[in-house]
Amino acid sequence: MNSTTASTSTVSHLAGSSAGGYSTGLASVPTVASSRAAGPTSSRAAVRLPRLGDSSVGSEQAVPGSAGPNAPSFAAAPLGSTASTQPARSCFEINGLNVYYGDVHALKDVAMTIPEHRVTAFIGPSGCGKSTLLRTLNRMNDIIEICRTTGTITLFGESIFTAADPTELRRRVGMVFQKPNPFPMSVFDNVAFGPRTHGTKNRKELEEIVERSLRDAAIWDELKDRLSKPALGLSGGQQQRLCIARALAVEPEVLLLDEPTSALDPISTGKIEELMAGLRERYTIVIVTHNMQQAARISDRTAFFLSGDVVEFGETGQIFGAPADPRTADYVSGRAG
Amino acid sequence: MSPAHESTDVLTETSTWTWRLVKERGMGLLFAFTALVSIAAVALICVFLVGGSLPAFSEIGLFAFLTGTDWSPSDVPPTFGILPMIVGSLYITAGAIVVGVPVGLLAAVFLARSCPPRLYRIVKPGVDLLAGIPSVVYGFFGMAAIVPLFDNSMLAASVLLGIMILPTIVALAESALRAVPESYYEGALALGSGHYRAVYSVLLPAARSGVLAAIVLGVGRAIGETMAVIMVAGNQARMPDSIFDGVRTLTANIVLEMGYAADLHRQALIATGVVLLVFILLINLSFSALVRKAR
Ligand SMILES: Nc1ncnc2c1ncn2[C@@H]1O[C@H](COP(=O)(O)OP(=O)(O)OP(=O)(O)O)[C@@H](O)[C@H]1O
Ligand SMILES: [Mg+2]
Repeated sequence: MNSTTASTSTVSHLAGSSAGGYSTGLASVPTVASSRAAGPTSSRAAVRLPRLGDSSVGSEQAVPGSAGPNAPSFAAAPLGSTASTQPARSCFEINGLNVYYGDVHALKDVAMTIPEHRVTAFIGPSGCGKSTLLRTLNRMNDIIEICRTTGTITLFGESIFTAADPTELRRRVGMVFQKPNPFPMSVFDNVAFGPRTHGTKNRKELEEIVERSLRDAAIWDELKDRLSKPALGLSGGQQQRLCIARALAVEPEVLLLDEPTSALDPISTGKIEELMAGLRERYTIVIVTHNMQQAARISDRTAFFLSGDVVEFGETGQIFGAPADPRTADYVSGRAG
Repeated sequence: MSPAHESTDVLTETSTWTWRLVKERGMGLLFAFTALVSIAAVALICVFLVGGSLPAFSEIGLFAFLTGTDWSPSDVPPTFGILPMIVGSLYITAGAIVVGVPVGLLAAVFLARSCPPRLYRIVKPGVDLLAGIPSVVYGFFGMAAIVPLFDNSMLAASVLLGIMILPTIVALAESALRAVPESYYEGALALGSGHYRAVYSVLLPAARSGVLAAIVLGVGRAIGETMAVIMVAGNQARMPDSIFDGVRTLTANIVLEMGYAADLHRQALIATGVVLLVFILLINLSFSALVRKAR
């Protein structure tokens, strides 16, 4: 149904960085798989390190002498500053994408390049296809029988539609849903679910993964004494951060978030926004939001959708400050939608 | 509007209101009465069973009755030990669980999660139909299809009962699975889990209480089943040595001998009914505990 398109530019990128000894997103996949089979903790850590180093790959390619991976604190610095001025590798390249639910044409000929290690925000009125695009990126729409997709999407140069089985794609492209959906089991089992699914059995290893993921989701301190308690007993905000931790535990390369804070109070929302600013160093983040301030605060690039079309896609500052399309201008200034 | 007019209005309204109150009260009483009828039925059953069996318990002795392995009502003097029947009922029920629960759960998972709608419209009524078939018909089926394979034995009865409890387990487990939020399934898939892992590690545990309740209800059905079991179990009132031996259940014991029993023999059969009732009571208690937990 879907054709495979490998973008040549991305492929050469990959070749270059692999030669430089860096494990890029694509190249790291076999490594991850083999280390999983072998299982020892040390190789797990070894897989992780190159990813941390990835941002230095970026800076090497771009502005020499610019800050290393740890230097800019994204929580403190205004977002979309230094980092987004460096040319980023493209993570997803979407071309001629059409999505139909039965007769509903939910996405119309969408073309878009989502950069790596950036926060990309999708905004637009209800029903315009934001969730649809998000769910297409990790092939969650495969489970909707009436859903039909045409066009190409590549993840680091490789078509996401090639594999018959989307589970490996979904491991690499994590997703957090609008309504927090922790499983009705303990906090620990929730976070360990993904790693267990992908073959990690060793208790000690799992404990390390759980702690690291909860720390990354900024909820370790709140939950470290409640690991064996049922996850459904947590507050909504805690549940959502637990879901983020659960997604991080499988070490994805991309994190898709569909209105992750729309069911939360302002304080929980603030925590999750802060969290995303930190996660952006290591993950590519795509977030759907109805909150214009949120998009402006946390994203580097913003796409404005209107009834299945991507009307405008550009730097967040430009979309909100000087939108090129009058429809975008109307929407971001609150005159339409 | 004249004042007179207004007052008649008020009057009619008051009488309508009173009439409505009477109707409400009346309906309330009617409902309470019907509820009482069912309670009374349970109470009466208990009274007659216990009353009818007390002489047996005092004469034979509770311990000897429950743990005696010899049931020879026509010997002189007669012996009344129902342990073989207790064991028979428990074994056959356990066998029915071994046969029926895995099949029933897998079928429920299939119906709830993977069945194409067109197939569902055929399979689901088929399963429901299983529940409505009279047990004597199951008995015929057992004699025709199962006994030739396994003889009249514990195994034959277990297989037949396993089939008979299927509709109970399938229906309850399916609705328990359907009650699990779809977001759990999507959450599991989004972590890279396959369909079956999502079902077995997230959906089934989430539906745990409902699934257990389904099993317990199936057990209740199996332990109380009489006619079909009599037709395939062999009915020997002795301790079974293997699953290929014939066994007699508590229910079969009562039905087979009640027709000609008198005096102590008759009372011992009623006492067998009391033991059965206690089993059913325990099962019902655990069922309601599970259902309460499922909410
Ligand atoms: N499972 C589905 N079956 C049929 N139609 C669907 C399905 N999901 C979405 N649609 C339709 O596709 C279109 C886009 O929906 P989508 O959920 O992507 O919108 P959205 O931009 O995320 O809206 P919102 O902001 O309300 O979440 C809508 O017209 C919607 O009705
Ligand atoms: Mg949506």
